[in-house]
Amino acid sequence: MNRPLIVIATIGLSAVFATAVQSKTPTGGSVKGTITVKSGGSAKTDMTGVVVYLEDVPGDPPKSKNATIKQKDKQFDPPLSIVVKGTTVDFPNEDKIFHNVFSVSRPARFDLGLYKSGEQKSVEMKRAGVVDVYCNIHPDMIAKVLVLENGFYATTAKDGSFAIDNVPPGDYPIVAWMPSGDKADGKVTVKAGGAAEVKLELTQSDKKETHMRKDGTPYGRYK
Amino acid sequence: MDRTVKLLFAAALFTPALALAQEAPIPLPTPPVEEKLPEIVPPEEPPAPQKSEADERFEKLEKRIEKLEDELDQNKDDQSYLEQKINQLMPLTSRITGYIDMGAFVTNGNGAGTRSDFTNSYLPQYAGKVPGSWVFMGDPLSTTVNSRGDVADTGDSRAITFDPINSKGKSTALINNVNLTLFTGVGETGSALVSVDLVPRARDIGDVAGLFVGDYIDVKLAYGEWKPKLDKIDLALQAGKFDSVVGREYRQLESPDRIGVTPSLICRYLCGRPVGVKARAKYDKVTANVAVTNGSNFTEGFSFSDETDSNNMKTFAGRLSYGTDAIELGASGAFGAQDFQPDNDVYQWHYGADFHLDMHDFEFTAEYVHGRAKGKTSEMSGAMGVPCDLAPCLTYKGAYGQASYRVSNVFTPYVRVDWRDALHQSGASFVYYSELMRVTAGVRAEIGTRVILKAEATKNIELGELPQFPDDVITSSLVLKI
Repeated sequence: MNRPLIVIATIGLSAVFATAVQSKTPTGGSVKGTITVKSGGSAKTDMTGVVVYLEDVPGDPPKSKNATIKQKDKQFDPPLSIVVKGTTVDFPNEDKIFHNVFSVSRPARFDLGLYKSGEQKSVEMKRAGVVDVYCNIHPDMIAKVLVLENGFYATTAKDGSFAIDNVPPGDYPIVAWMPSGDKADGKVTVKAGGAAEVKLELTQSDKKETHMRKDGTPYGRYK
Repeated sequence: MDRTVKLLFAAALFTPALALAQEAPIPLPTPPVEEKLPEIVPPEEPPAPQKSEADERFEKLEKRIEKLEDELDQNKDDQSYLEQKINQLMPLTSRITGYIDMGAFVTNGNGAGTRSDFTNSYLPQYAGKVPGSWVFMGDPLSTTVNSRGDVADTGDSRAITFDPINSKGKSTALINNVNLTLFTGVGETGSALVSVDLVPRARDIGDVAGLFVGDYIDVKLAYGEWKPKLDKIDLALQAGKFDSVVGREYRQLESPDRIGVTPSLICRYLCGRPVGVKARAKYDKVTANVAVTNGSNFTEGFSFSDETDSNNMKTFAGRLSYGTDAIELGASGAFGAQDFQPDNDVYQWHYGADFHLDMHDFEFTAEYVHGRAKGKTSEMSGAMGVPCDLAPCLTYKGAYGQASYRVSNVFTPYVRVDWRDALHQSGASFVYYSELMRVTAGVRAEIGTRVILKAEATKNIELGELPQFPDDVITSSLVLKI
């Protein structure tokens, strides 16, 4: 091979390599960490079920498919749903008895009325926050919908660890939340290609949640 | 050119100038000349920059935000006003519910669930002690036709003589009851509830016995409840006339709640609504229920149920249960002075167990009870072998199992098997010897949210030494929820 050819080949390969390296250069970073859940003063052994999410991340929330919360065997399934703002939640009744799904939570107030098996009604979750969903007939039917501003969230593993990837660089508030407990807040700085570490602590509440019917009165005497 | 020509030329040149000089005005004296300041010329305004598209959008957005802020303020004012109104109304939050229950029934006998052993041939042990016509075989409450537990006819019964339907074995349609239930919340933890049945019945104004009272009102429930907010325990304290403490059938007394039309044979022991105080506490899956009441938890349609006390000894009752989403297992009991007798030392006791399974569309309930009202016997009557003359005696065992399956949104067929073994005696006044099994099959149809149609057939089977006699019932119920 003569010299000019070697030069051309070297330049070409370099360009290809540079392009490849550039295409793999991360534009976002990740947030990793551990959530400790305390109950009765000591840390729990199983810390699953905590939702960790970032707030004020720029950009529009991703468009997601409809979420589904079934009414089956006089229970909501799943009892906890995490959706992004703008998601429509379907409530199909798979029981052969009437249910009346409703919520009086500030982010989404709705009353779907009575309907039986085979019917489905839907609600668009337009605002971020926690939506408590109940049945007006069966007081033990309880579901929670956590509506988030964006899709940057994760749920904890048994050891409390979590990871949120592809986060645009910036400073963000971070929140750890669980259905039966308080909320823990923090701040995190995400750098391109970096991994920010966060440790938060939550206390699980043993306090029993009570709720009323949709008209604000207690449930019937047998329930 | 000569001199003349030169003069003419000069005249021609100066004549217009002289004329102009003659026409000019006499000049006025000129005023002192003011010193003129140099005039300030404003700088020329630069041409207005042309608005960019972004600026226009920005302005539009600003205006829109202003408008939205106005609307928001208006909405806040409106909401504040509404909240004030709601807060004024909230201390008392009431609702009225109820239903109309109508039905029709047919029986294959005289409508009564008992027959007299006139010749002492079936129960010879009472021969010479109790007149045969007062020895009753069967169960006076086995021919119930509605959710209230009314029987088609009481026949010749002596212990249960209240006969509001009195069909004499004929088929009839009737309004079983019109129920009105008023609930009032008092604050966040208190409430009051009243449930009343308006019962339209026939009145035979020519009947001198006066047992047929015509339309009447039955106050079924009237109590106040306080549910303090506790962290881990659901606690409810009640005072007044409230639901039974024992068993679990009392939860389905109202026609819309009851799967079938009629109560079980042992409902008479479980479905009463005594007067007193009650505490119910639920912790996780365990529920405890205790009450101190005037009388027993028996229904008013059966003896041994005294709403106002006849003695100073109260009835203590309790139930302990364990329940998950699908199953519930309970045990209950009661102890107190026997109702409708003045002696504090004549006791009445009861215990029972219950089981409930609700899995998918299948529901099964079973209950067992055992109890005794001791009664009281005078020495003379005792010597004659006729006990319980001072206070009636009752010994009973009973059970039922009911299964139902929701086959569709509308239809729920069900079957129930009852069994009751009881002896009820009041000296020589009467003896009820009941040993029977009852099989009931029916279907419940829920049409929409407010209409329920039920129909069922009941076969009574006398057991042991008792003869078979016609006391079967086919009945129906149409419930319109208000």
